[in-house]
Amino acid sequence: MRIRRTTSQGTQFLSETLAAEVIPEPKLAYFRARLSNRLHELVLATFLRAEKQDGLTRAELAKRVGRGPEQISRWFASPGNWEIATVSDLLLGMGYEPALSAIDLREDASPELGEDVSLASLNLAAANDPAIQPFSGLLGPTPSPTAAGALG
Amino acid sequence: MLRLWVNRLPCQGLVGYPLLINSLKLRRPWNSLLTYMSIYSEILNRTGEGRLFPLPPLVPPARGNAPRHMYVSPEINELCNTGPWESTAWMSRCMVLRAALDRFTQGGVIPVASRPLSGAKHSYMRQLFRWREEVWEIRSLDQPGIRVLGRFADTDIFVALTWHKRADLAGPQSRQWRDAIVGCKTIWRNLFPSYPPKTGGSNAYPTDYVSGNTILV
Repeated sequence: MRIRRTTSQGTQFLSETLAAEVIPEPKLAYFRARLSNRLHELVLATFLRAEKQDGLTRAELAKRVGRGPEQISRWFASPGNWEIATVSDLLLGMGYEPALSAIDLREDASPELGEDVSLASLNLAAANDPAIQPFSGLLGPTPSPTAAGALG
Repeated sequence: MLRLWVNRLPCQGLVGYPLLINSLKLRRPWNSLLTYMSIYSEILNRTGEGRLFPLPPLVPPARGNAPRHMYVSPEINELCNTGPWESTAWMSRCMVLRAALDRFTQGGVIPVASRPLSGAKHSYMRQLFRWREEVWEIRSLDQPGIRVLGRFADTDIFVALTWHKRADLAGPQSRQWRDAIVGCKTIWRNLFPSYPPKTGGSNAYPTDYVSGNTILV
């Protein structure tokens, strides 16, 4: 079963983005940065797996892709100067290549669910905190954090 | 400590806890209340008062729940959530910052600077020196560079309090950096007078702060 990924703010942000005749530049910028971050995370997660399973070191990876170890450290620290070639080189150096697919964001833009996962989780953590059990009523009604922001 | 609570409980009543206050007065002496509070309920109170805002990712994580949580001050909420922004270009820059903050709450692998620092100068997240001050920065490296300073309330719960353009902070030993760190600590004390930030031991760094999916650089 697919887990729906929604929060009230996220739902509105997505639905506004998808409904726009012309997607505003700031939202384009958000998704560009998000993709860059996700590619970075993919490479880092792959390296952590290869490090654990195969004992791959950063020095070995550097050698395999013809770079110095300091370049690997820079690449791992931030995706700031990455190109698509960087992703390809690093993953290939670990023995991988990315599996690509596109997901339909419209499924996540449904307005059905609106709970703020952050506050809900904190409520749960507070409720499970033995230190405050005697006064669990303090958690009471979840305070409304804010109206949905201008970004939605 | 006692005076603090006497001052603050009426505020909680205003936002919807009158029955609680009545019951507390009947059941407990004031000085025993302190034992029964936690940083979690304090964060909830601050969000109810509009002094902190939860910042869930704009595109929620695929696994359903955000594995890490971030709460932000009103100034950061304005910067990367509500605006206003002075121009479309600045708004776009702030959206890149928002994507960086969402990276934390999305729960994916994040690069954290080693302690002491290694050669990598641009890790996503770094505990600022002196470490015992427990002030962290999140770096957004696009131009103009932006630094968000904050502290951990608990493992995987980051409270982002101030932001600065990197160019305004000058060199690493500058007075501007010192002022930024002091400013962050001051806001924390105003929000949580009875609670220190999360502290971590050197043997469990960085997992005391971020429980998983980190890589030291």
